[in-house]
Amino acid sequence: MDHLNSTFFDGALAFAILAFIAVTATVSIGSYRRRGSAVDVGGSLVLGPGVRGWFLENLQPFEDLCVQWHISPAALSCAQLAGSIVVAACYARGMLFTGGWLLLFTGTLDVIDGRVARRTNGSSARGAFLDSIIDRYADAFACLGLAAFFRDSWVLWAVLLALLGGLIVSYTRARAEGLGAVCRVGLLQRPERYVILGFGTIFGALCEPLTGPWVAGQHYSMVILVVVALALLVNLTAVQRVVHVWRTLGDGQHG
Amino acid sequence: MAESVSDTNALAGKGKRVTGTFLLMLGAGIVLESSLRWTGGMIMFAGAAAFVRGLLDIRPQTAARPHPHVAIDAHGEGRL
Repeated sequence: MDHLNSTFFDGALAFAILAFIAVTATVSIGSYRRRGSAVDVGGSLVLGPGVRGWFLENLQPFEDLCVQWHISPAALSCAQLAGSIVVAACYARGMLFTGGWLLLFTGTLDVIDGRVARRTNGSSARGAFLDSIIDRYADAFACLGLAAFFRDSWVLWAVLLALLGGLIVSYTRARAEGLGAVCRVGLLQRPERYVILGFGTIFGALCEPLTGPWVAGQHYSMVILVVVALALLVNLTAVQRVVHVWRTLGDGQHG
Repeated sequence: MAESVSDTNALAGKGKRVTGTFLLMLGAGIVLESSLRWTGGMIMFAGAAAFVRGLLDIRPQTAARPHPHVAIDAHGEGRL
């Protein structure tokens, strides 16, 4: 009886969370779009300018707080690294919802540290270098956690492929910039990867009681679909970047 | 340009709503996925409280307005 009560409670809570996310996101992003934005925040196929602008607008109070409290960008980067280790631990223990939510939080810290550095004129080569290294570790920790969770399944290969693709995407840009070329193209850049993996694991964990094992008899079917899609799309992005840099360097249009 | 009182309150309200959402979701995750149900519940409660306080900040602020008992004369100056 207790088990049934617990299952009912968990299902009701999961439904309430889904409803809360849907209502809050719809109302909040809708309101932002109606107001419009004077600032060009860029955009991509996955994350359009509306969502990016809304996200950055919501970060404003925290940026102000970091500037006011003299929190250095390096401290934010270190917090991101610590958060990523917690994400890996959550994923490895099967806490996919919590891990996904913390993954989005660590991604947010990455955005805030850059913006705080610019606002406090604290941008430096050393800070940029530290930030890139921590970003790679953060990417790897998330994938390592998922790899530990799916260690007995074929999904492990998809996770490792996603990890490899993510590293190649980043390396391609770094190498291209080292050779004097600009490389900011690609379907899934880092923010898009975070959003897809973060929300994929959040919704996958919440919908698990509904979906069940319908992908090759595996539990967490929705998470598996997201991981496989991510593995494919990240590697497609890597190929896109390689082709772009190849053409740019061939034309001699560096920079 | 200096920020008005309502702008500052709106920003603070936004911060509370975002913090509230973060805590609410984190608490829900702990409730659903770990044995620390009470801890998760407390975090959820704190998040819900912050979110509601943030929602209350959306309302037009009365702080910057003249007190209702202060009459405004033809020159726009308040007198008791």
